[in-house]
Amino acid sequence: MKYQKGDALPELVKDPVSRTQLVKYAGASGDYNSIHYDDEAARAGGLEGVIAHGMLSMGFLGQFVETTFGAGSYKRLEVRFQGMVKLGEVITCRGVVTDLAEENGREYAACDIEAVDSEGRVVTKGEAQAWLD
Amino acid sequence: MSTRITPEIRALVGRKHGPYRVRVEQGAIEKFADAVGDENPAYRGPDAIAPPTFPTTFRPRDAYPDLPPSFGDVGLHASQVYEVERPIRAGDELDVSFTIVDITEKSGRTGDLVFVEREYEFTDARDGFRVGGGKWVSLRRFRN
Repeated sequence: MKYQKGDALPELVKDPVSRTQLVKYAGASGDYNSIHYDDEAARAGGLEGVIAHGMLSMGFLGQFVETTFGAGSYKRLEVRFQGMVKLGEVITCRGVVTDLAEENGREYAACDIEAVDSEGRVVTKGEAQAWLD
Repeated sequence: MSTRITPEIRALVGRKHGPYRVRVEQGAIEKFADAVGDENPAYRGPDAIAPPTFPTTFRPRDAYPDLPPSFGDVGLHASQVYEVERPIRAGDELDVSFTIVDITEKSGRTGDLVFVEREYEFTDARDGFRVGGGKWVSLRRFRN
Protein backbone atom coordinates (compact mmCIF):
# COMPACT_ATOMS: atom_id res chain seq x y z
CA MET A 1 0.00 0.00 0.00
CA LYS A 2 1.23 3.48 -0.87
CA TYR A 3 0.95 6.04 1.91
CA GLN A 4 0.60 9.78 1.51
CA LYS A 5 1.49 12.60 3.85
CA GLY A 6 -1.26 12.92 6.46
CA ASP A 7 -2.41 9.30 6.22
CA ALA A 8 -3.20 7.52 9.46
CA LEU A 9 -1.57 4.09 9.74
CA PRO A 10 -3.66 1.00 10.57
CA GLU A 11 -3.67 0.52 14.34
CA LEU A 12 -2.01 -2.42 16.04
CA VAL A 13 -3.78 -3.65 19.18
CA LYS A 14 -1.63 -5.87 21.37
CA ASP A 15 -2.72 -8.62 23.76
CA PRO A 16 -2.83 -7.60 27.45
CA VAL A 17 0.65 -7.36 29.00
CA SER A 18 1.10 -10.32 31.33
CA ARG A 19 3.75 -11.10 33.92
CA THR A 20 4.74 -14.10 31.81
CA GLN A 21 5.40 -11.76 28.89
CA LEU A 22 7.57 -9.53 31.09
CA VAL A 23 9.58 -12.53 32.27
CA LYS A 24 10.00 -13.68 28.67
CA TYR A 25 11.03 -10.18 27.64
CA ALA A 26 13.50 -9.94 30.53
CA GLY A 27 15.13 -13.16 29.38
CA ALA A 28 15.09 -12.33 25.69
CA SER A 29 16.37 -8.78 26.12
CA GLY A 30 18.74 -9.32 29.04
CA ASP A 31 17.07 -6.58 31.11
CA TYR A 32 16.70 -8.14 34.56
CA ASN A 33 15.69 -4.99 36.43
CA SER A 34 13.48 -6.55 39.11
CA ILE A 35 10.83 -3.81 38.94
CA HIS A 36 9.61 -5.65 35.84
CA TYR A 37 8.75 -8.93 37.61
CA ASP A 38 8.88 -8.44 41.38
CA ASP A 39 6.11 -6.33 42.96
CA GLU A 40 8.09 -5.86 46.15
CA ALA A 41 11.09 -4.47 44.26
CA ALA A 42 8.79 -2.19 42.28
CA ARG A 43 7.15 -0.85 45.45
CA ALA A 44 10.57 -0.32 47.06
CA GLY A 45 11.32 1.92 44.08
CA GLY A 46 8.19 3.97 44.66
CA LEU A 47 6.01 2.27 42.04
CA GLU A 48 2.57 0.78 42.70
CA GLY A 49 3.65 -2.60 41.37
CA VAL A 50 5.40 -4.26 38.49
CA ILE A 51 5.62 -2.20 35.29
CA ALA A 52 6.52 -3.32 31.78
CA HIS A 53 9.95 -2.60 30.33
CA GLY A 54 9.78 0.67 28.42
CA MET A 55 11.62 -1.18 25.68
CA LEU A 56 8.71 -3.62 25.37
CA SER A 57 6.43 -0.74 24.38
CA MET A 58 9.10 0.38 21.92
CA GLY A 59 9.16 -3.23 20.66
CA PHE A 60 5.41 -2.97 20.05
CA LEU A 61 6.04 0.22 18.05
CA GLY A 62 8.78 -1.54 16.07
CA GLN A 63 6.31 -4.33 15.29
CA PHE A 64 3.76 -1.68 14.28
CA VAL A 65 6.20 0.01 11.88
CA GLU A 66 7.37 -3.21 10.20
CA THR A 67 3.83 -4.63 10.04
CA THR A 68 2.83 -1.46 8.22
CA PHE A 69 5.83 -0.89 5.92
CA GLY A 70 7.31 -4.39 5.71
CA ALA A 71 9.94 -6.39 7.57
CA GLY A 72 13.35 -4.76 7.28
CA SER A 73 11.83 -1.40 6.30
CA TYR A 74 12.73 0.51 9.41
CA LYS A 75 15.42 3.15 9.11
CA ARG A 76 15.11 5.00 12.39
CA LEU A 77 13.00 4.88 15.56
CA GLU A 78 13.07 7.49 18.29
CA VAL A 79 10.82 7.33 21.34
CA ARG A 80 10.32 8.92 24.71
CA PHE A 81 8.92 6.88 27.58
CA GLN A 82 6.20 9.10 29.05
CA GLY A 83 4.05 6.76 31.07
CA MET A 84 4.27 3.40 32.75
CA VAL A 85 2.61 0.25 31.43
CA LYS A 86 0.99 -1.82 34.18
CA LEU A 87 0.15 -5.52 34.12
CA GLY A 88 -2.98 -6.37 32.16
CA GLU A 89 -2.79 -3.19 30.12
CA VAL A 90 -3.86 -3.36 26.47
CA ILE A 91 -1.56 -1.23 24.33
CA THR A 92 -2.61 0.19 20.98
CA CYS A 93 -0.01 1.50 18.53
CA ARG A 94 -1.04 4.22 16.12
CA GLY A 95 0.61 6.76 13.88
CA VAL A 96 0.37 9.19 11.04
CA VAL A 97 2.63 9.89 8.05
CA THR A 98 4.17 13.34 8.50
CA ASP A 99 6.44 13.44 5.46
CA LEU A 100 7.71 11.52 2.46
CA ALA A 101 11.40 12.12 1.78
CA GLU A 102 14.32 10.69 -0.14
CA GLU A 103 17.85 9.66 0.78
CA ASN A 104 20.38 8.33 -1.74
CA GLY A 105 17.58 7.86 -4.25
CA ARG A 106 15.44 5.78 -1.85
CA GLU A 107 12.09 7.05 -0.67
CA TYR A 108 11.08 6.79 2.96
CA ALA A 109 8.14 7.80 5.12
CA ALA A 110 8.49 9.80 8.32
CA CYS A 111 5.76 9.16 10.86
CA ASP A 112 4.66 10.29 14.29
CA ILE A 113 3.96 7.16 16.31
CA GLU A 114 2.60 6.47 19.77
CA ALA A 115 1.60 3.66 22.07
CA VAL A 116 -1.50 4.36 24.16
CA ASP A 117 -3.07 2.41 27.01
CA SER A 118 -6.71 1.41 27.38
CA GLU A 119 -7.55 4.75 28.97
CA GLY A 120 -6.05 6.60 26.03
CA ARG A 121 -2.96 7.79 27.88
CA VAL A 122 0.13 8.01 25.73
CA VAL A 123 2.77 5.81 27.34
CA THR A 124 5.45 5.95 24.64
CA LYS A 125 5.69 8.27 21.68
CA GLY A 126 8.13 9.36 19.05
CA GLU A 127 9.03 9.32 15.40
CA ALA A 128 9.74 6.55 12.91
CA GLN A 129 11.33 6.53 9.48
CA ALA A 130 10.73 3.57 7.17
CA TRP A 131 11.90 2.80 3.66
CA LEU A 132 9.12 2.54 1.08
CA ASP A 133 10.87 0.28 -1.45
CA MET B 1 19.13 23.01 44.52
CA SER B 2 22.14 21.00 45.56
CA THR B 3 23.56 18.92 42.78
CA ARG B 4 23.40 15.14 42.74
CA ILE B 5 26.15 15.16 40.15
CA THR B 6 29.34 14.97 42.17
CA PRO B 7 32.77 15.29 40.49
CA GLU B 8 33.00 11.47 40.51
CA ILE B 9 29.69 11.21 38.64
CA ARG B 10 30.66 14.03 36.28
CA ALA B 11 33.86 12.17 35.43
CA LEU B 12 31.77 9.45 33.74
CA VAL B 13 31.02 11.82 30.85
CA GLY B 14 33.20 10.89 27.91
CA ARG B 15 33.83 7.36 29.13
CA LYS B 16 33.67 4.80 26.35
CA HIS B 17 32.96 1.08 26.63
CA GLY B 18 33.93 -1.45 24.02
CA PRO B 19 34.02 -2.36 21.31
CA TYR B 20 32.78 -5.81 22.27
CA ARG B 21 31.77 -8.52 19.82
CA VAL B 22 28.14 -9.63 19.53
CA ARG B 23 27.11 -12.65 17.51
CA VAL B 24 23.52 -12.34 16.25
CA GLU B 25 21.85 -15.74 16.58
CA GLN B 26 18.67 -16.98 14.94
CA GLY B 27 17.37 -18.40 18.21
CA ALA B 28 17.93 -15.13 20.06
CA ILE B 29 16.01 -13.24 17.35
CA GLU B 30 13.13 -15.74 17.53
CA LYS B 31 12.93 -15.61 21.33
CA PHE B 32 12.98 -11.82 21.21
CA ALA B 33 10.15 -11.67 18.63
CA ASP B 34 8.21 -14.25 20.70
CA ALA B 35 8.57 -12.10 23.83
CA VAL B 36 7.29 -9.00 22.02
CA GLY B 37 4.41 -11.08 20.65
CA ASP B 38 5.42 -10.41 17.06
CA GLU B 39 4.73 -13.34 14.74
CA ASN B 40 6.27 -11.83 11.61
CA PRO B 41 7.86 -14.75 9.67
CA ALA B 42 10.77 -12.50 8.64
CA TYR B 43 12.07 -12.84 12.20
CA ARG B 44 12.17 -16.65 12.03
CA GLY B 45 14.43 -19.21 10.42
CA PRO B 46 18.07 -19.30 9.33
CA ASP B 47 17.66 -16.16 7.19
CA ALA B 48 15.90 -14.20 9.95
CA ILE B 49 16.35 -10.48 10.16
CA ALA B 50 16.15 -8.83 13.56
CA PRO B 51 13.15 -6.75 14.70
CA PRO B 52 13.89 -3.02 15.03
CA THR B 53 14.52 -2.99 18.78
CA PHE B 54 16.62 -6.18 18.86
CA PRO B 55 19.84 -4.19 19.53
CA THR B 56 18.60 -3.78 23.12
CA THR B 57 19.96 -7.32 23.55
CA PHE B 58 23.52 -6.14 22.77
CA ARG B 59 24.40 -5.84 26.43
CA PRO B 60 27.99 -5.77 27.60
CA ARG B 61 29.00 -8.83 29.60
CA ASP B 62 31.76 -7.00 31.43
CA ALA B 63 31.45 -4.17 33.90
CA TYR B 64 30.90 -0.89 32.11
CA PRO B 65 30.93 2.77 33.14
CA ASP B 66 27.65 3.63 34.85
CA LEU B 67 26.20 5.31 37.90
CA PRO B 68 26.75 3.29 41.10
CA PRO B 69 23.97 0.68 41.60
CA SER B 70 22.80 2.38 44.80
CA PHE B 71 22.47 5.80 43.13
CA GLY B 72 18.80 6.86 43.39
CA ASP B 73 15.71 4.91 44.45
CA VAL B 74 14.80 3.47 41.07
CA GLY B 75 16.30 3.24 37.58
CA LEU B 76 14.02 3.99 34.63
CA HIS B 77 14.29 4.52 30.90
CA ALA B 78 13.77 8.04 29.52
CA SER B 79 14.21 7.76 25.77
CA GLN B 80 15.71 5.59 23.08
CA VAL B 81 16.84 5.90 19.45
CA TYR B 82 17.78 3.17 16.98
CA GLU B 83 18.84 3.73 13.40
CA VAL B 84 20.25 1.25 10.90
CA GLU B 85 21.92 1.39 7.50
CA ARG B 86 20.76 -2.14 6.74
CA PRO B 87 18.73 -4.80 8.57
CA ILE B 88 20.60 -6.79 11.20
CA ARG B 89 20.58 -10.50 10.29
CA ALA B 90 21.09 -13.87 11.92
CA GLY B 91 24.78 -14.69 11.50
CA ASP B 92 25.95 -11.08 11.77
CA GLU B 93 28.96 -10.43 13.95
CA LEU B 94 28.88 -6.89 15.23
CA ASP B 95 31.33 -4.80 17.20
CA VAL B 96 29.37 -2.69 19.66
CA SER B 97 30.60 0.32 21.59
CA PHE B 98 29.02 3.13 23.53
CA THR B 99 30.06 6.40 25.11
CA ILE B 100 28.47 8.37 27.94
CA VAL B 101 27.93 11.75 26.27
CA ASP B 102 26.09 13.68 28.99
CA ILE B 103 24.77 13.53 32.55
CA THR B 104 22.10 16.04 33.55
CA GLU B 105 19.62 16.50 36.37
CA LYS B 106 16.32 18.14 37.11
CA SER B 107 13.83 18.38 39.93
CA GLY B 108 10.56 16.66 39.09
CA ARG B 109 7.22 16.53 40.86
CA THR B 110 8.18 13.26 42.54
CA GLY B 111 11.81 14.07 43.29
CA ASP B 112 15.20 14.68 41.72
CA LEU B 113 16.01 13.00 38.43
CA VAL B 114 19.48 12.30 37.05
CA PHE B 115 19.73 11.44 33.36
CA VAL B 116 22.57 9.55 31.70
CA GLU B 117 22.79 9.85 27.92
CA ARG B 118 24.76 7.25 25.97
CA GLU B 119 25.44 7.05 22.27
CA TYR B 120 26.43 3.78 20.74
CA GLU B 121 27.16 2.20 17.42
CA PHE B 122 27.55 -1.24 15.92
CA THR B 123 29.81 -2.09 13.01
CA ASP B 124 30.09 -5.27 10.96
CA ALA B 125 33.08 -7.18 12.35
CA ARG B 126 33.85 -8.55 8.89
CA ASP B 127 34.26 -5.31 6.96
CA GLY B 128 33.91 -2.47 9.46
CA PHE B 129 30.69 -1.23 7.85
CA ARG B 130 28.71 0.90 10.29
CA VAL B 131 25.46 -1.06 10.51
CA GLY B 132 23.72 1.30 12.90
CA GLY B 133 23.65 2.99 16.23
CA GLY B 134 21.50 4.73 18.71
CA LYS B 135 21.02 6.77 21.78
CA TRP B 136 19.98 5.51 25.18
CA VAL B 137 18.91 7.87 27.96
CA SER B 138 18.32 6.26 31.35
CA LEU B 139 17.37 8.00 34.55
CA ARG B 140 17.62 7.47 38.27
CA ARG B 141 14.94 8.91 40.49
CA PHE B 142 15.43 10.14 44.06
CA ARG B 143 12.09 10.29 45.85
CA ASN B 144 11.19 13.39 47.84
